[in-house]
Amino acid sequence: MLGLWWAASAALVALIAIGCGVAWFLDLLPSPFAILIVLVAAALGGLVPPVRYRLWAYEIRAHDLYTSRGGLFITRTLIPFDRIQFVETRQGPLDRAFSLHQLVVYTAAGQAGRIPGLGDEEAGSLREELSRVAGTVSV
Amino acid sequence: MRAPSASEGARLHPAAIAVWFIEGGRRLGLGLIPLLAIGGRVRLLLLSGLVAAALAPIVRWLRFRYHTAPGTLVVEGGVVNRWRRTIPAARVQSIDIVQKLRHRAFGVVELRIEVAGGSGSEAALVALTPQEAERVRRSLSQEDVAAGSQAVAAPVLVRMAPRDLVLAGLTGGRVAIIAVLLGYLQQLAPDDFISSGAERLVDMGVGGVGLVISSVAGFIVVAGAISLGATVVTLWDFTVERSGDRLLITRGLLDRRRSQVALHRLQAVTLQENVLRRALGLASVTVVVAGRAGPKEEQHETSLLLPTGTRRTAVELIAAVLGTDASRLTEDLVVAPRAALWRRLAYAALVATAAGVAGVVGLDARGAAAVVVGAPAALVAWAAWRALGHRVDRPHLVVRRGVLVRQTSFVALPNVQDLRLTIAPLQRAGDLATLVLGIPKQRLKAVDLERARAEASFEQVADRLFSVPA
Repeated sequence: MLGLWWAASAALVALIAIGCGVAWFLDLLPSPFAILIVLVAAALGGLVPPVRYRLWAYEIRAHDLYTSRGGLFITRTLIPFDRIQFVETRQGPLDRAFSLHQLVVYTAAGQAGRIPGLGDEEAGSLREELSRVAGTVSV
Repeated sequence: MRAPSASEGARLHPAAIAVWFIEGGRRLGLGLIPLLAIGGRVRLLLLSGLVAAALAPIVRWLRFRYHTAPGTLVVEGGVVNRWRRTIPAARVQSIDIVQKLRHRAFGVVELRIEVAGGSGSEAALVALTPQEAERVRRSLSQEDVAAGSQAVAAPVLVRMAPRDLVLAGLTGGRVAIIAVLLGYLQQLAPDDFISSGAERLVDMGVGGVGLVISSVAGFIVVAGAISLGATVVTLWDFTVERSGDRLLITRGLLDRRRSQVALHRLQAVTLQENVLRRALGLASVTVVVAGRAGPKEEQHETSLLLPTGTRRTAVELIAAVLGTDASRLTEDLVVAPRAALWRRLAYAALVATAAGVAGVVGLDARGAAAVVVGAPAALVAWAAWRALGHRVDRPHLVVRRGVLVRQTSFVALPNVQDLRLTIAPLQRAGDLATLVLGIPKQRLKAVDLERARAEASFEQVADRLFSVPA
């Protein structure tokens, strides 16, 4: 998962660097500003993925699935097993490049929780496990 | 045992042909008629098209059959692709009996059945005699069909007299929307239309402030009249009856509608108080029903449980629907901490600063006076803070918020599907958090709770959820 976020953040920093370069070339941005923006972007790009990775957590507890993520904007979700409608695993193009899966849990209220960055086996077994307990009161 | 079949079922009332013809005609026929003026071969082609459009409903009616068995409704039809649909009564979310003008002309009604998760009406029996519609409704509701139509008198929960509807129309949100629309239309209207009216007023000796006041008053009167008309027509004779564990909602002057919702299908009940109604001690009540489809513009009306009434009536209605004690419902909500006010005032200050900076950049130093928008922004911030309230430790969770329309939502614990706790950067500074209750079709937010309290509630509600299965 960390690899994926590194790749995404590197791509974003590269995009910002190219944008600043073009703006500087077209005389829209003085060079000190352009360099400053690229440096800030690079620093954030280097800092965010590991922090975000460390703050991402999920736990299958006795009666529910608990996830927690984010440092600046913190979000914790709690999904009781008996409210789970169905569970699916997903793979976007980036996920595929790193052979990762996302697990998405749905309740009657819609998409309730998501666990990204799961390996092939982990995603499969987690999906089976959650589908098994879906609709039951506890594990 | 034989699978239930519709082949021996009944046909719709022949008026269905006319209803389908009118509906189809509205969609394409009327648009084609002007083209008849073209003449030549095109006209022949169009004419044959129109004839086909006129014949299609007849074939459709011949093919359409329905049949009720205990606990199910079987519908079959289709001209080219034959289809048959079995609808189990247990899956039915709501049943509507609709009587539009085209139905009234033939003295028939339309029965619409909605199933959870459906995108539209799962089955529409477009023309039935009222007695037959009632029989099908009872059969699907698994009421005793033999019991006769009025065996048990249903207790009436709400009945709106014309006088109440006038009040609802004059205090509803429609007034504001229509006033805005009128302001927009006024720009499209020919200039002299308005300026000549203004000149006439000036001739009469009304000038300056008087002119502004009279034009604003004119706006409000027209908006109020339109809103009043619309409200009275759509909500005429609005009645809510309780029959067993179901609510029957009847309304409409031109288009009659009778909706049926099972009480256990209600996901949430909301007490709505807009600024005007709150000042007058009035409120309205809406409900959230899962699987309620239907056209967008009809959704608002179908979820309405009380167009307007005193706040006390509204709370008592909510208590009756939820099956609890009215006195405990809205009492002692937990109000938001002072930090929540500071957070909102910080946003208001931000707005004021942005306005000031924009004023200076856009005009000159005098533009800095634009910071005065900070005053109303601060007032709104204060009102928004005052509106916040919640209570999550009772059988019914309560969440209150909203400035222009104060909404107090009530949710029974079994309807809560998932929980979420979010902390934004400014909330962390003030030790605040937001608790989000996921219910079907909505996520209710209890905004800006004390963080420790929010975290404790998060776990407590989770524990209670597992001890009260859905």
